[in-house]
Amino acid sequence: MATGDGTIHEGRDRHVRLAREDEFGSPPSSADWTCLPLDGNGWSVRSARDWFLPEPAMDGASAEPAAPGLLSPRGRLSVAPHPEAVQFLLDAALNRPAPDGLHTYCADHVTPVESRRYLGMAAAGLTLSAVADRVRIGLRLCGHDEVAGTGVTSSDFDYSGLTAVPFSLRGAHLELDGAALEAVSGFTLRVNNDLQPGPNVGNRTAYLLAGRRTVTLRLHGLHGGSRVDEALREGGSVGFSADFSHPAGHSLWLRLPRLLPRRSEGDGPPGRPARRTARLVAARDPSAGHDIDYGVSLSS
Amino acid sequence: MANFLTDGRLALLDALQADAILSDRVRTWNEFGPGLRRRARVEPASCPVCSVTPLEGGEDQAFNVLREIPQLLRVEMATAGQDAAPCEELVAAAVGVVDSERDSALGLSGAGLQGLSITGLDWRARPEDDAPRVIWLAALTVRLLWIR
Repeated sequence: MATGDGTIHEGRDRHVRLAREDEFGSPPSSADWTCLPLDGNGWSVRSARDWFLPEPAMDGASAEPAAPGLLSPRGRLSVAPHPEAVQFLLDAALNRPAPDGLHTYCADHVTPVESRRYLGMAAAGLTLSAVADRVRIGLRLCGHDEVAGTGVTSSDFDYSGLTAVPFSLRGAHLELDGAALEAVSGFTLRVNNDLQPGPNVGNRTAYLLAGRRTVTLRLHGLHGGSRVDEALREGGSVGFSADFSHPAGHSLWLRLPRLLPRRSEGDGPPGRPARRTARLVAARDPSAGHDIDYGVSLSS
Repeated sequence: MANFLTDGRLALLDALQADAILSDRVRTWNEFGPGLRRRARVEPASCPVCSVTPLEGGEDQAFNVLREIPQLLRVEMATAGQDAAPCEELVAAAVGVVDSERDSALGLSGAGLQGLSITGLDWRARPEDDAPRVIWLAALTVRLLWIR
């Protein structure tokens, strides 16, 4: 992409920062910005607008004059789990201040070409994929408004508070009654917040409502045991536990106490080790009181 | 002059030298530090020898503001005599050192070292032709991954 004076810029010249809003769709008065190193092409949020195309009697191939629909910024953010940012990211998707509400965020995206601000952004979904040293967090975002020409520049981004080295997957396993059953090579966690737009106010979405959360887990490389298959056949459940480590001593953990298996499968190409995978959906555990829990501990 | 590549190589050397088996068996450490010029020539009289040398590097702009920089180091060990077992013992000890340093990343995570791993191991008997004495050479390739 070229700037106004024809200079080519690269992805390394893009910057993204997020801050939690006090009020939906309004920039926070004293913003506590979290600047996030983007993983590859890790920011795809852009405004989108649907158009209402009336369908009167067919009068030719061309469309009739259309009415604009709502402006709705949407797209994805993909980052590595840097210790100081991971709680912020997980809270965005999993922490609900109200049963039908998520925290909303103001986001700045800056390139040498333009600066844009997104308001009222909420996490419609979360993807956490983890295999050994390769751990990535993705947020599917949608929101209220996009503003261009904010005057924010790359010099406003400060990454000094972030540790460059992200978390690595230390171990993950299925468990029953707290006892480890089967180790897992890697997994992909997906959360869908079933975000629904509220009414139209001033050509923008007035608010966003979060619906029932769907948490699914795909396990890669189950080692030993057949507990998932047994639970699948019997209609039972298992638990899941994952721990992430960091060379500086920080830790991150993830717990899903009640998982219902939906499918278990295996493959074994002739020249490669046979592997088993499983797909499970999380349910709220009556004793734990939640479907998913997590925690981050930063060593001083 | 300190830089992250030198820090990584010297930290691995320190970890190897701190290992009980290696510190007990290795007679000559080729450290390639300042001072008189040392040659990498391996003579039976100096064996067992252990040296850590830079091998290869690279750069990948994996993030907008961070780069992944792999640093490959060659850990060479040599033992005199036709019996390969002493050399294998040194290699096993070096593998153990790399494994034990995985979690702490040689204490250099603050400088951006994510971790270290072994990516290769070459064995060679020298000289290959008829010779009165054989030297077993093992070269372990250790990969340090920096994110900076």
